Amino acid sequence: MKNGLKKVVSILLICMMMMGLSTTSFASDVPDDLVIPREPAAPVTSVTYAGYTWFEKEHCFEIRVKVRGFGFESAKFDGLPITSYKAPGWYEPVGSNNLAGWIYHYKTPRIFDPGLYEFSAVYTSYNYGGQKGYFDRTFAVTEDMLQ
Amino acid sequence: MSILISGTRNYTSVPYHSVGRYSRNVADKSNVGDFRHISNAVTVTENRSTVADENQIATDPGKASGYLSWATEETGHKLIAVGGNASMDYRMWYAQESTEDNPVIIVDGITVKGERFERKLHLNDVSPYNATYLEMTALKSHYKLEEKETYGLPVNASELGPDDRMDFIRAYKELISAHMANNFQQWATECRRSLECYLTIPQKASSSDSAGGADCVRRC
Repeated sequence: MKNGLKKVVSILLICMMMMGLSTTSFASDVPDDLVIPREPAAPVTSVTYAGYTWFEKEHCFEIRVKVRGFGFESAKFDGLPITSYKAPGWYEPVGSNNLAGWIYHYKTPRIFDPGLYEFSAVYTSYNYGGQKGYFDRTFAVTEDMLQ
Repeated sequence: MSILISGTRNYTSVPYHSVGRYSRNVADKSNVGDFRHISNAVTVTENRSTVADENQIATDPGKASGYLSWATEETGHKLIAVGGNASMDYRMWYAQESTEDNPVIIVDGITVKGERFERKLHLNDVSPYNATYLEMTALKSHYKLEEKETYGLPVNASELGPDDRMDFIRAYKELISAHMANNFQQWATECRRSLECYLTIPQKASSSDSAGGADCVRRC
């Protein structure tokens, strides 16, 4: 009886060892390069004004802001939150393929009255402790522009 | 140009976000309503320390002395373009002698230093291979390229002054190549459309065809 039990236990032990070996060998088949190391997206380090255009038919501004680095955008025009409608990349050095950041293009709501309008934006880095860049500017609308 | 940053960075405790068009479009709504209005044009902060980049303040004509008096001044003309880049603000209207075959545009502007300027542009003489920002803008406005979903002027032109020239055709080609390399198909397509438009306009405009550049723009 004891011998029978010993045989069963030893067979079980052998099976467990074989399973362990096969598991180990299976694990060793996983290539190391499945874990892809990558660097965090660069922080927002500068926010510069790139220009604006007044759209005569739509009675609104397109405001362009050039941001170096990558982060969340948040902008306001005359107190109203607005979101960029397009943001093509820009490259540095000029002529290279190295993406340095986005040029945020904002279209403002339709403007009916002449006067001064405040635009402000903040860009919060995805990484690096949420480093921020700020931009603000006043835009003027005249009667000529609204004709 | 130097940016002073104070504070210490904490690289490890922050989750990484990838750089891509999808992640970029996620607006941080928590920031809405939390603006810090400051007198300087550009600031970079880290760990709640704010330091102004004084060199960049000068790259915004909106901060120039006398800007507001210029910007709020009525011209009495029918404006065809109002805008600006990092070096100047401008407004344009047709000159009295302007005709359909020979469009002439008057530009009234102010530079980043607060100096006012005026230029007269003959569009038939403009070559995109060697043009100013104002000339390209005048072409864009006259031929209504904004309505054709074109790309706009390349960003490296955003710092050109009233008389600075550059090769816009080359700039567009470089941009197309860079956008393609980064798989930004949409921007590459828009750039190509702009390039085709600007390449066609001068040929048509200088030809004896009475339709001028309008036909080629329709094809764009």
